[in-house]
Amino acid sequence: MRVKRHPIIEAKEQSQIRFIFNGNEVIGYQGDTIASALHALGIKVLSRSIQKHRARGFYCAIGNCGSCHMIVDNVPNVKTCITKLEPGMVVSTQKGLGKII
Amino acid sequence: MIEKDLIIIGGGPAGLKAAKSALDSGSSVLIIERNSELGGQLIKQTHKFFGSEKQYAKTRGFDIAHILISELAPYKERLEIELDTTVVGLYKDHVVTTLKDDSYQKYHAKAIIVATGASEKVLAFENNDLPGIYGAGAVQTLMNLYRVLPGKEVVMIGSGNIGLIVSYQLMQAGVVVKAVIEAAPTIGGYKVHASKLRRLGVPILTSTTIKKAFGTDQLEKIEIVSIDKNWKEISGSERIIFTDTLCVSVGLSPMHQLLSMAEIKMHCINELGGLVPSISDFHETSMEKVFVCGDVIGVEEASSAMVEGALIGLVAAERIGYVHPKLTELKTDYLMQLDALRSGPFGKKSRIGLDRLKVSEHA
Amino acid sequence: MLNRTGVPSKEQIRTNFPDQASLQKPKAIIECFEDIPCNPCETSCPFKAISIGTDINCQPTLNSELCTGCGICVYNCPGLAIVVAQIIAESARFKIPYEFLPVPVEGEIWHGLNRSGDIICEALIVKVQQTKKQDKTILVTVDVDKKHIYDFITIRCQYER
Repeated sequence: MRVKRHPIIEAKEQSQIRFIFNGNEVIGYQGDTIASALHALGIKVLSRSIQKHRARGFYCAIGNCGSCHMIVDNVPNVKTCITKLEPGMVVSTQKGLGKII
Repeated sequence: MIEKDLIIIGGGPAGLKAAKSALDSGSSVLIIERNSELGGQLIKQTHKFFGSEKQYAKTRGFDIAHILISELAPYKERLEIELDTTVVGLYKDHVVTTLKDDSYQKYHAKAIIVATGASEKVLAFENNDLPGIYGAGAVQTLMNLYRVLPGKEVVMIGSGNIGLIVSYQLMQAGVVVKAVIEAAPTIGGYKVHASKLRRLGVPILTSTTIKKAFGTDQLEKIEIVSIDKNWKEISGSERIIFTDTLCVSVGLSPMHQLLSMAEIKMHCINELGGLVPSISDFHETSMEKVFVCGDVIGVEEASSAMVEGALIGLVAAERIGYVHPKLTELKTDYLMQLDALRSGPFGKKSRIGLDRLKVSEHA
Repeated sequence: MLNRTGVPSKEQIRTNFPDQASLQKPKAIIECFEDIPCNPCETSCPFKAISIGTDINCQPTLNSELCTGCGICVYNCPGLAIVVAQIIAESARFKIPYEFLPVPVEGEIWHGLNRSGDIICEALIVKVQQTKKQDKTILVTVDVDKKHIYDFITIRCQYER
């Protein structure tokens, strides 16, 4: 869900960006981070915790808390709240610890 | 190793003002900012700021960020800015290490100003990890920077200035704020902010706290409960509020990590937000020629951060041999401005905190 | 009560209103009850009718004689704590700050709200002023029945737009 009109913030023309989330092609916009694009699509669950597989979403949205880690282009533990969305990115829900090696 | 005169870690309001002062004093400056733009938390602030003209009162936060950035434009030759660059190490020998994409860099500076700001605290309650539960600043970032609605409706925990301001901004973005919950018996922030919300029909429930959140993979509802003057839950006063978004606005904590890493002497001062470095009168830490300004040395308003930055930029530059021609006059002015900002009832917490820090230092 | 609810009491509201005779001309009503470090109302008034002084924590005081009800302080106050009020025949005419969408249109009838957000009356939109120096705080001139003069504070759209 996007803000359609705002009394203070000027509207900006934004071009669409196609990317993949859990195997499906979805759309975000220029200027989005991965987390904001997913949130606009109604996707709030970004990862699962290590032991109890609890759903995790973002919390601070500015790169401090580490709650928003996802696998992006095969790289785990990417802080999606501060990573800018780029065309063709392949994003998946991270389940537990990411495999680095 | 790259040699620098002055490195400023953090390009928010404190760091930007410190840079201007240091540049005016003749120093060259490197600002290292982890975000892709300068301005810190100002860039998502859509409301008009308080304070006096010197602190850009009645100007919207994001406009203040543009002003601070444009004030640095004349100094291109002596000013370097590294964006998307995170400082990952601060060392005892004045070495600063950075990470940008996958590339590391080492710097050595004659003086360093740490202006890393503060981050949002968490509140402990059952299921506080559910998606749909966010820091209030996070919700501000989402709707004001990325123009994404956080949810259909929101309950805000915390009636300090951030909780009240973000609630108002949520209403402006078209999100219904069902209630503001405050554990204390009185509203924490400015009453003018609270009045703005009440006019919009937003209830503010004092002496109330959250007991539990419910939901499968996402927030669906919360249970709130009234508390008595001893902060104990009043049994039987529990009630449910259905909501898909909960904002937690329970204060900020200084981002002290680099200072702690360098084994700079720290104290835990609650009134300042948590762990802060011990400082001299002009904010020099226990590590020579390493200074702090802004929220990292005590959480306050952006107006104080700007004036502190302006002051400490002068002092840091002077310590490495660059003396501003109007040093004494400016120092006096900045100290007076800080005094004015802190002398009222809303400055009490900062005054107490800074006094306790001084006392801890001598203990 | 203000500290607990965010709504000033009737007494607090009345202290800022001049007597009804003085309200034949429009006057600023400043509802700033705390010592906040802030002074744009003082610095923006072209008639020097508002004073705070060197200690910017002091609450503003209004010199009613000098106040022309121009409304400049209304859109300069960061707390949106000021309105202008005037009595014209059987109506109370207000100038209020407004920062929402949709923007009111002259001639429309909107809901009139009190400080607790309750709908208490109808409000006729008389004028909508949006200039660059207002920096997106719209100044709306609104008429309500004068019996609501101490209760009315803002408007809410009743149209689907």
